[in-house]
Amino acid sequence: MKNNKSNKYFLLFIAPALIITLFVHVLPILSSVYISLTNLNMFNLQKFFKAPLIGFENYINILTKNSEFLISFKNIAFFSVIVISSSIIIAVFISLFFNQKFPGKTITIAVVLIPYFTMDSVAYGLWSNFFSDNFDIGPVNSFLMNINIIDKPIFWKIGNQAMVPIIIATIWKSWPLLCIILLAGLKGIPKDIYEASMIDGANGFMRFFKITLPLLLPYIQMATVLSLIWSIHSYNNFLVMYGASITEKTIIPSITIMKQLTIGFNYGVASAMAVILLIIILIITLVMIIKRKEVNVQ
Amino acid sequence: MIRSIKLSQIYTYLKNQILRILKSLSNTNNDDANKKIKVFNKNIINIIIALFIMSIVLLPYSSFIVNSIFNFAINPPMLTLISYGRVIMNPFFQNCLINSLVISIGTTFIAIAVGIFASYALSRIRSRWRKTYELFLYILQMFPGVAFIVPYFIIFILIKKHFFIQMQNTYHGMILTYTSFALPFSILMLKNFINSIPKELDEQAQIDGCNRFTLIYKIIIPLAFPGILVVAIFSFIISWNEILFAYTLTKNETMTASIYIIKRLQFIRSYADWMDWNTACIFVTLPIVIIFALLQKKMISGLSSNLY
Repeated sequence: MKNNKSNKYFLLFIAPALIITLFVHVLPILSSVYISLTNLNMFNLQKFFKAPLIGFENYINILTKNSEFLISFKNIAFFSVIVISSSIIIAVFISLFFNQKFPGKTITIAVVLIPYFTMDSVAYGLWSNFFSDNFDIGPVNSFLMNINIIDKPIFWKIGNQAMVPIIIATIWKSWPLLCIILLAGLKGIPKDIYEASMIDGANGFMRFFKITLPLLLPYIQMATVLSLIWSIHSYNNFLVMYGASITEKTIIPSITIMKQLTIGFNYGVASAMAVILLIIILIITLVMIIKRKEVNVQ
Repeated sequence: MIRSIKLSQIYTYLKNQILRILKSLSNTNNDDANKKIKVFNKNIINIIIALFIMSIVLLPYSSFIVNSIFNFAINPPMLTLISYGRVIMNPFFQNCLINSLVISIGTTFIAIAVGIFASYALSRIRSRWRKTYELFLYILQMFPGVAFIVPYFIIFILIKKHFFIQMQNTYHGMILTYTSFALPFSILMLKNFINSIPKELDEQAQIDGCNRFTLIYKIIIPLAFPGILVVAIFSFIISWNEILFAYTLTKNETMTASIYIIKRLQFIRSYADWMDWNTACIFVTLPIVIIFALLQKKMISGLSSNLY
């Protein structure tokens, strides 16, 4: 009886949030799945409910004929692997540094987090200008020319080197948060393990590889999965840095979807792509929820 | 009267210090002094490393300041504050800032007002739906905005056609779309803050005759107020920085500050434009950096509590 009553209270309290969720999450996703099964485009948008249902044709077309979508997945995989591995390595070392006591530590942590709180358009716009092709504005080109590594400005945003600027900028913006996650993990490692190992004669390297790394591993896995999700989300960085000049070398799934929506007006195709992306994110999130349980257990 | 310090005084002070250190070094029995010197050396090295990390992180920001106050078109570069005046007086930029403020504050208000009840339920009311709902919110938080943009685009057009309500280019339309990422985030974060309030307090209040609504009003909101403030600031910052929805669903009427920055970046034609862009960046970034500096400890703890 009492349990029944508290169930009622629970539903009453989450009702406002549920109603909003229904309108901003559930309904759009369901309609997205529906649209992905139709041939909806700019011309038959006005008679939305009479748009021809074509089954899984959109999905088949995307995965077999539309090569751009597959290339965008290859690009995002390459981008994610490099960005995640380097920011995790940076975050591990700097969180180890922050795990000791020294004057001015809190200020340093706060300063390090500033990139995370900076607006995406400001941060990536800044890096975009650093790698500008224009000799007057682009400091990277002028620096490389001053020390005589190159003799004429490099076009950083097209060609084979097009991924370099965005990878550097994204690492700069994403490692601080990973560092905070790993720092929370390091704080959970009990100090007496280190004292015991020191009595047994373990040196710094052995302590790092035999104690710190194994105990930190669940947190590193969490951080990896989280940043994988964020890098699949990434749209802002590519939009701000490349804008209209995006090429086959730098196209990613979100940009492909937006192109289908705003330039191609193929709403059915765009929805089908979004649903594929959503399924991938869902699988990764479920893996993460299982991992999260492991972290909580320890 | 200010006493002037003579060079000889500095010299004797330094000599005494060095002698003291040397004395403590030579005296191997004096472990305490040795330890102090070791800690001192370690601190110096750590501070140097910290300064190095900070300078690498902050290096890109120096570009804003230098480029906003120096006009490099003239040789030698001229120090000028003219771009600040130009950017502040620009009515379109003012309009964008106001749009950003209205949309971000509206989103934050809805997310907190609705989220406080849901997070209280998640934290305190035992129910078989609790785990399911928390998992649901967690999954929603991970969904990409791109998945929502296509249906929003079409639903907005359909609403205008069938219900005659303008959704694109309006504040309420933008706030509704922003709620999609602010709400799950706020509920989960608020839950962590409410969890940290001792349960005995609300049991006591219930014995004294509070029902659940007055309990939220009288106990939970005052006690969780710092937490609520942190969550509000986070959802404000996320809304303030948002690009995807603002870029696709609005035009000039409700353009936000972050879109203004992108649009200006694409049309840099002269040094004056370049200086203005940097100045606008400073105006947009500074409020958030100041808020963060004031509340950094609380915000960092909130940040790490929400991720797992």
